[in-house]
Amino acid sequence: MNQQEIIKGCIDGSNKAQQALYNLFSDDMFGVCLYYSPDRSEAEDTLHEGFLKVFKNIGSFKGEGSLKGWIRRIMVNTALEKFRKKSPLYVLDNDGYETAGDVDRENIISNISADDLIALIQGLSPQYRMVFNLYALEGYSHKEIAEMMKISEGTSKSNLARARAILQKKVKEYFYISSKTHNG
Amino acid sequence: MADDKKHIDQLFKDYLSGYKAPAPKGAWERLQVEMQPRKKRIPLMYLRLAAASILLLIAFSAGYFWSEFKNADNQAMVSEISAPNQQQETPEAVFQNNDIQPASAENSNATVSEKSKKQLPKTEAEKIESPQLAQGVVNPDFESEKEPAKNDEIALYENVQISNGTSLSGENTDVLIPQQIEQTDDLATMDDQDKKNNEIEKMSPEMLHRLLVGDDEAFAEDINQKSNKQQSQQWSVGAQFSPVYSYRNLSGDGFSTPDEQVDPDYFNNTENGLMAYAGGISLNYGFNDRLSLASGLYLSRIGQENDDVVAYDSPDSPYLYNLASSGGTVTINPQKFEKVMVREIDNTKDSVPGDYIVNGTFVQNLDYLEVPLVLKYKMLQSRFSVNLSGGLSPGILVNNRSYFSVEGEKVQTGFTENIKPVIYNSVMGVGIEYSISTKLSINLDPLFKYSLSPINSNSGIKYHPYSISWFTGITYKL
Repeated sequence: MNQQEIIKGCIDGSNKAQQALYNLFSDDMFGVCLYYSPDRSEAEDTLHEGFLKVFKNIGSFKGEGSLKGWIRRIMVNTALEKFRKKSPLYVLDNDGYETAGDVDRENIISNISADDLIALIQGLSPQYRMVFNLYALEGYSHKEIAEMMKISEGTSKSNLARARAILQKKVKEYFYISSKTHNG
Repeated sequence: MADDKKHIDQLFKDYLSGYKAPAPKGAWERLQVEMQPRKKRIPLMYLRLAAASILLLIAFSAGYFWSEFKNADNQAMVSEISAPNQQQETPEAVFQNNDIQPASAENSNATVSEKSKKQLPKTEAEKIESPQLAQGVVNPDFESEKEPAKNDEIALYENVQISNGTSLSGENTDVLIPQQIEQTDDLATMDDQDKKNNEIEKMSPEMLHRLLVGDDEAFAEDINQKSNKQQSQQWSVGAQFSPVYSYRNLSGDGFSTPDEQVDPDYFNNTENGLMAYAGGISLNYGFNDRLSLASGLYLSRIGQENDDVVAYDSPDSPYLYNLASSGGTVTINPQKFEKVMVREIDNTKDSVPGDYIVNGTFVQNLDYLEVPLVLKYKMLQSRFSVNLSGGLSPGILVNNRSYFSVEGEKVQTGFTENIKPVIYNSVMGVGIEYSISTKLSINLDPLFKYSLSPINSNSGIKYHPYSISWFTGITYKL
C-alpha cells in the first residue's frame, strides 16, 4: 500500500489503511510528542489526541508538502493546545540562570544521546519548553510564536534566552564538564 | 555572542531532527477503541469511569472482607480488652459473666427488661448469635463459590495488579501480554456464563489497565530514570477537616427479654444522628497522573443522640442505673443520675418498678484514630479535577464516652459497653480539587463511610455506624 492508497483508505475509513498510516508515522511522532511534553504519560496523550485529529481531518490534506510534515504540525498543535489549557498552572521559574557560556561541540562527551537531550527539554518549565521547541526545532519566528502562544514577542524572546541559558548550563554540567574531568 | 547562542539550538536540532521513539504498546488499540463507529462507541471517559467504579467498589468492600476475615481474632481481642471494663461493671454484669458467655453477653445488652432478673435461655441466645458465627465460618466459601459475580470483579482487579507488578519489576511487558490474554479467556468464559454484555468486561485486561493507569513502560522508565522524575509519581501531604453527620444502621433480629421482644425499631424510633467532626493529616502517593493511594492519620468522631431516653435500676446493684442504647448498655452512677432524673414512670402494666424519665439529651460519642487506605481515581485532569475514591479506613477506638446535655451543661456518664476496639470502615466518595499552583491545591471531598461489619459484639442488634463528611483541606506536593 503506497502513501496515496493509505490516504485514500483513511478517507474511506478503512481500518487497515489507518493502521498502516499509524505504523508508518507513530514512532516519528511519538519522538516529537516526547520533547513537547513534560513526561512520557502526557506524550502518549498527545500522540493519541494527535492521531485522532489526523484520522478525522485526513480529507483536508491537499498533498501540498509532505504527509509527515502535515502530521507533525498536527502533533505540535495538539501539544500547543494542551499547553494553553494547562498554562495558568505553571509559574515560570525565574531563578536567574547565568549563561554558562557557549557549548563547545567538540568537548561534549561522545555518548550524549537524543534521549539525554529530551530529558533536559522535559525538565524545562512548559512555557520555556514550548518557546524553545517552536523556535529552535520548528523554525518559527518570535512573531509567529507570540501569536501561537498568545504571548508578546518580548516574552517569547526572553523565554527563549532563559531556556537556552538553562539548557546550556545543564549540557555543560552533565555532558561537558564531566567529559573534561574524565579525559583528565 | 548571538551566534554562540545558536550553537545550543543547533545541537538540539541535530540530535532531535528525525528522532524516533517506539510508540507505546497498546496505543493503537486505544485509538481503535475511540475510532469505532459512533453507535458502538463508548466515550473513553465513560469507559474509564466504569472501570474505575469497579475498582473502587472492590476497594470499598475490602473493609468488609478484611474485618470478616479478622473476625475470630477480633473477638479474641474484644474479650481481652473488655475484661478490665467488666471488672468495673456493675455486680449485675459480674453475675452475668459467671454464666455461659453468649447468654451473659447477650443479656448485658438486653438490660431493658432485666428488672425481672431472669436470664435468657441459652438456646435462645445461641439462636441470635448463630448467624454471626455461621457467617464467620462460611465466609471463605462465601467469597470463592457463592458469589461468582464478585469473583469476576476480583479477577479483573487482580489482572490490573499483575500488570502493575510486572511493570514495576521492570520485566518485559511482551512476556506479560500472553498471560493477560489467557486471563482474558478466563474472563470471557465467566462472562458467557453470566450472559453479561458489559463493554468494560469485554476489554482485555491490558486495555483496562491502560485506561486506568497508562502504559507499563512508563512505569518502568519512571522508576529507573531518576534524572527524569515524573511529576505524577509523587508524594503529597496535607491537612483535612470535615464536619460529619454520623448515625448508624441497625441489623439483626433484636433480642428477647422475658417481658418483651426488643427489635431495632425500638431504638430507631428514639435515637437520632448527630453532627460531629473529623480531621487529620493526609498523605498521598500518586502512582501516575490518574491513580493515587490516599492515606494519613485522622481523628474522627461518630455517635448518636437520644432525646427520649429511659433509665432503669440495675437489678443487682441499687447504687447504679443503666441506660439501654442500640450500641450497648451504659452504666451511670447515682450522683450523676440525680442531676438528670425527672421522675419514676408510673406504669401500671409493668409490675417491676424502676423505670425513670430522664431530662436532657443523651449523647454517645466514639472517637477513632483512623489510617485510611483509599484509592483515588482522577476523572478530569485540569485545574479543576474530579476524582472518585473508594477503599477502607480502619480505626482504633481511642475514646468511648457518653453524657447528658442538660441546659447547656454536660453531665458525663459512662462508656458504651461491648464496643469493639477496632472499626473497619468502607469509604466511598466523589471529590473536586483545585490547583492553586503546581505544588499547592485545595479540595472538597464529600465522603461516605460505612462499617459493613457491626462494631458492637455479643448483641442481637448489630450496630453499623455510617457517616457523611465534607472534607476540605489543602495539599502540598513534595
